[in-house]
Amino acid sequence: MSFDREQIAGLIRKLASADRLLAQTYIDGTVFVDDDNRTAIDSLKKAGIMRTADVSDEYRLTGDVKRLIDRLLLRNQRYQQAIDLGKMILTVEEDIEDYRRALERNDQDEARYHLEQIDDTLYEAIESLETSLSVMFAAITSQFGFVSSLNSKIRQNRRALAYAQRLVQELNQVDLNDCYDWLSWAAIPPELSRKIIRFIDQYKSIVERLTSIVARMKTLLFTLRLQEQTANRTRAMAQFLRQHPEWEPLDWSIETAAPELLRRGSGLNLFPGIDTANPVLQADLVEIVQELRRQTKPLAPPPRDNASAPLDTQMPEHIEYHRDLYESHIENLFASALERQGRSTSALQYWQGEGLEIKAELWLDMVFAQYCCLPQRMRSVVALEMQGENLSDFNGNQVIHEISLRQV
Amino acid sequence: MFKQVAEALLSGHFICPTAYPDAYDYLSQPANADKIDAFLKPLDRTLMSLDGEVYYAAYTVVDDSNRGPIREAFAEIRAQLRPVVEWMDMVMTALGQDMPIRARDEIRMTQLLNAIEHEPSLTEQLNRLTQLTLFKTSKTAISEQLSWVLQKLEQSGYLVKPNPQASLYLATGKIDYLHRIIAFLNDAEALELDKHAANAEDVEQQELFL
Repeated sequence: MSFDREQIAGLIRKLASADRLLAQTYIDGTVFVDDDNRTAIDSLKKAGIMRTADVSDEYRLTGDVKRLIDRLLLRNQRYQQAIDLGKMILTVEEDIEDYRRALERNDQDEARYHLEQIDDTLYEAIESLETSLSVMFAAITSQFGFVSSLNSKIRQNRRALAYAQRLVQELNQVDLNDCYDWLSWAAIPPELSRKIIRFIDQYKSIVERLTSIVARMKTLLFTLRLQEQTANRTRAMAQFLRQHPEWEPLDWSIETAAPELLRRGSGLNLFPGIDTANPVLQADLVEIVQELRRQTKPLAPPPRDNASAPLDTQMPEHIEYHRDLYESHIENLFASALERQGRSTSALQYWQGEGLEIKAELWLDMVFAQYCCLPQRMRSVVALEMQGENLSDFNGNQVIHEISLRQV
Repeated sequence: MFKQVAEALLSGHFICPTAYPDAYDYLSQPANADKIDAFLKPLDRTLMSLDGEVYYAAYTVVDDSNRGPIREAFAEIRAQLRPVVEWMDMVMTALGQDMPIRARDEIRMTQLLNAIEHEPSLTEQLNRLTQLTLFKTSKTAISEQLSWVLQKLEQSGYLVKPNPQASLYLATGKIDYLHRIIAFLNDAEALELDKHAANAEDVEQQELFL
């Protein structure tokens, strides 16, 4: 079965000369014959490129051409292919045997023919598996985008999953040890061993990817089923709400152990402040202030949750200065010391005479502290003498029992 | 992006690909999600995810300090449950789809309007919808009613409008959260919605045979 080069070139020219007509027929499915295209259609029909459809003046592409275009365009592909790997293995084995015999007879033409047969068989098997895989992969990725309803997607997924599982079974028919046996031929030519090794590698890769596709299909089917359940539940909820207009869900959030799903808060109101003392922010702050000044319609400040309070319209009253009582007593003590002109004035006697309520020790402390606070010129006028007992453990320190004041 | 994500979560927003695409992309990186979760931990919160499609902040403990905000958030969902479920049912019927409305779904006002205008039962359903608190309006024209409903859903965070001039809306992750709430209520209050759904299918099939 050999064709001459001109014959093949003629066929390709025929396809090319009717490119638009064929494209239109492929897209529309059929074409009607008229005076303009009659000659071209007749010629294409004779070449086996077109065939009559159900109606006499209607034409379609022949199955071979349609399949060729489908395949080349990767369009409308079907992942379900009739792959019979058992038969393929037998064919390859037979071809290898024929190839070996031809080589032994040194019949190079026949050997080349058998080698091409082996190559075609292996290539086609791998190609159809690859096509199945890539279309199944695309279907999963698009979530069976070629059908729109959820129901159809679930059906398609189920069907694809069943096919993929059958394909796994089919692939299990190939025993790689048998394939390695094809190589156990002492004088095996490298061109054949290369083809066999490539086939084994591709086969292994396909098995691996198919396993992953099956797993992904199972996950997707589960997801689609969940979506179906969600949709049905939404519908049923709407129906339930219509049937029970009085129904309201219970406040599950007040339960002691509120379910995790409901542990959502209403959200914080975030009002960030500006650190006006931060020199880094000052340039931006000035810019904001100037921008606000330029506004013809100033933005209203955001409403605050402050409660209103009535305005206090009363005139402010004069509040008397409250002097510190003991400060006044100490001043009086100092004044009486000045009045007594050199005679000593006892702080304890004053404390007793005035009937002060604080303890004597505290009074003496306050007198001493106030004396220390006097300006130097005052201290030089009034001398302070302290009487007390020396502490045993500390040199120079005393427990004060009395303070006497005297004008110098 | 950390600051924007943290602020959005603390403000009680749902982070999904439609409402906060950049924040969603940020949280989709496990390292970033861990960082945000670590930030939320001392605030007694954690980063919750619904199948990696929606993120929100949830309290890790429930006590007197946070019972109020939790109650407030659930009260909002309770109040919106009836109108939003009715709306979803109407959209599914109008578009003839058996898929639930989920985050990322497109809602085209013109397509919806076209379907409602030609179907009296849907017009009636829309009318009923505008009597419910969330969608309450005195508008009578179908297009105005529908536009009002979609605006309200946008304001409530169930939809976003990517282009203010166009009539295309996108569903947000809050819709997915609502589906979870429905599933929760179905179990917690023994509503037997799944049984209802199965019965409804049976009735539908019986009607087809009659």
